[in-house]
Amino acid sequence: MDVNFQEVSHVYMQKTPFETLALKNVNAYFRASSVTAVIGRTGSGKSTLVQHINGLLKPSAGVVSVGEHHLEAKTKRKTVKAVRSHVGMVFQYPEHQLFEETVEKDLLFGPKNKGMDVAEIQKKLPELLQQVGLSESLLKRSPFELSGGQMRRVAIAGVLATNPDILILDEPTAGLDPQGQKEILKLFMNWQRTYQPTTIMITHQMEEAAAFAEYMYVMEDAEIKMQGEPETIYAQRKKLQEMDLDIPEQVQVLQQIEQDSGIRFPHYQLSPAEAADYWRRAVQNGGVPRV
Amino acid sequence: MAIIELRELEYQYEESDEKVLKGLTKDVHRGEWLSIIGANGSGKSTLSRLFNGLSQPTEGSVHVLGKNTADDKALQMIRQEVGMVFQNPEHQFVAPTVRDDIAFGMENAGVPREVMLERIKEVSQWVNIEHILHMEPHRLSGGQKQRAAIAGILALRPQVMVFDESTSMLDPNGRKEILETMSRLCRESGITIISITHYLEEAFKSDRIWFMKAGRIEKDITTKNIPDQLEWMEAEGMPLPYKYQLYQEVKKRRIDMRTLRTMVEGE
Repeated sequence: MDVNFQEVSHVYMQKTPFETLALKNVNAYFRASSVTAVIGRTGSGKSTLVQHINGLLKPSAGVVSVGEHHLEAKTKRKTVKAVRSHVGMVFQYPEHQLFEETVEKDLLFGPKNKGMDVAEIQKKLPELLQQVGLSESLLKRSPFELSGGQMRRVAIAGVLATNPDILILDEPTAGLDPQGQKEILKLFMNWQRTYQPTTIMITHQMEEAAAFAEYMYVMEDAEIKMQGEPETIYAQRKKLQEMDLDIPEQVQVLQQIEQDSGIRFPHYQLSPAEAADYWRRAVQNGGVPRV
Repeated sequence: MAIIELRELEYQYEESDEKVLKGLTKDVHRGEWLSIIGANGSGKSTLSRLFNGLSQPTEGSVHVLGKNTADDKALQMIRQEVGMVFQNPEHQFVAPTVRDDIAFGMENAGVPREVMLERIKEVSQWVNIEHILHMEPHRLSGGQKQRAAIAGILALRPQVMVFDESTSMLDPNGRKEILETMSRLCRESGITIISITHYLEEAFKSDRIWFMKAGRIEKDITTKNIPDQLEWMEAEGMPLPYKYQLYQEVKKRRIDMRTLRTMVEGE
């Protein structure tokens, strides 16, 4: 399902002394089944942007199209509800939203809320738990007895249980250790491969965006300041740094080597072994001055 | 010279039957920047609470500046000399403004009013928060909150500061701010820094690293020796930053890459 922003602006607390322009004339397109990262520092407008996709916020001006539905300032609740049934949103620290007595009840809350066939989904819960790296035996446990990492997985599974056409991830790995971050990201990558939702991930970690997204929007001061495929974004390091962002460490290292040696890597997603092999071949072919 | 001495240190939570810390004997040296790194459950956070007597060892002892943390009479001095910065910046404030918050700790410590004003000025300049002294702490960015918390501790003139995963809830910019502050505290003010972290790249910036695993200090290395330890770190499954992984791959192929060598080994 496509998502399209046309000239969208959003004003918080309109016509009060606290009026703030939170989105300024945003045009953005999220192709069906693609993965897009929205990057920017705290307060740049990236959360405001995605909250328009499930109608948590309505545009003050412009149109947000989600599949065949159009969300505008005056859109009726019925339409918002219809849109919302397609969207799954993983908020920051989603584990704070667990509340049911058992993991199973928590997982079924979302589907029930969306009027889905609960009995059907209940049958699939063991598989779902496995997909998020948890054991089936947790179903009857209280979510509050679990470790922080397990709670996060349960909360994520609760969103995935509705198998949304559009999956929005708001800093899904915040507060986890590096190993935990990797695992959660991998979980979403596998999910993406199998079910192919339109995925939109908010992050301030370039590394994370680089690993997962095929397209990026960079936001600053309520506007989209840069967009493109990762390679295009990385080519503009200075501009990124002005926004307190930076290119991933891997790209920094490879670019530095290019600069010092004159060698050109084919792209920046090379694994360390690939990069070393590429370098060795270049040296053997005399492509690199001996240093 | 040792500023903190751990001797045969053991710790066990009451409700648990396994020790979280198992026989640690180590010194923290005066003026160094020490990192303690380890997975969840390795015991690193438990250890951090023992440095200033927030918890007491089940067995063995912790001495700070020669005084045992189990000695009630020394505890107040120890708490003042060893300041703690915690993980969640939200949970460290008690007063309505940053200025009041810095004053609060000093008031508790009985610092005279004229000295207090002087020190607020000094520490806020030092961590660069003069322009936000009048603000409510909850309105600040994550990095600003942590710097305000640091200012409150600095005002008490500690000799040691412990950072317990103080960067883990910050965005990359906030993390950078706090790391730079730690470095300056150590290099310019001579304060002994102990930072507990999940992130190798942060630990690599310090002077020495304790690698904790299952309640023990598995390795104690100076950061000058990082290149020799990379293989071990890889074998332990630690996620090395890209440049170190590439350095290893290049070395395996017996080729040279000067840029990388400079990055990893220094000039």
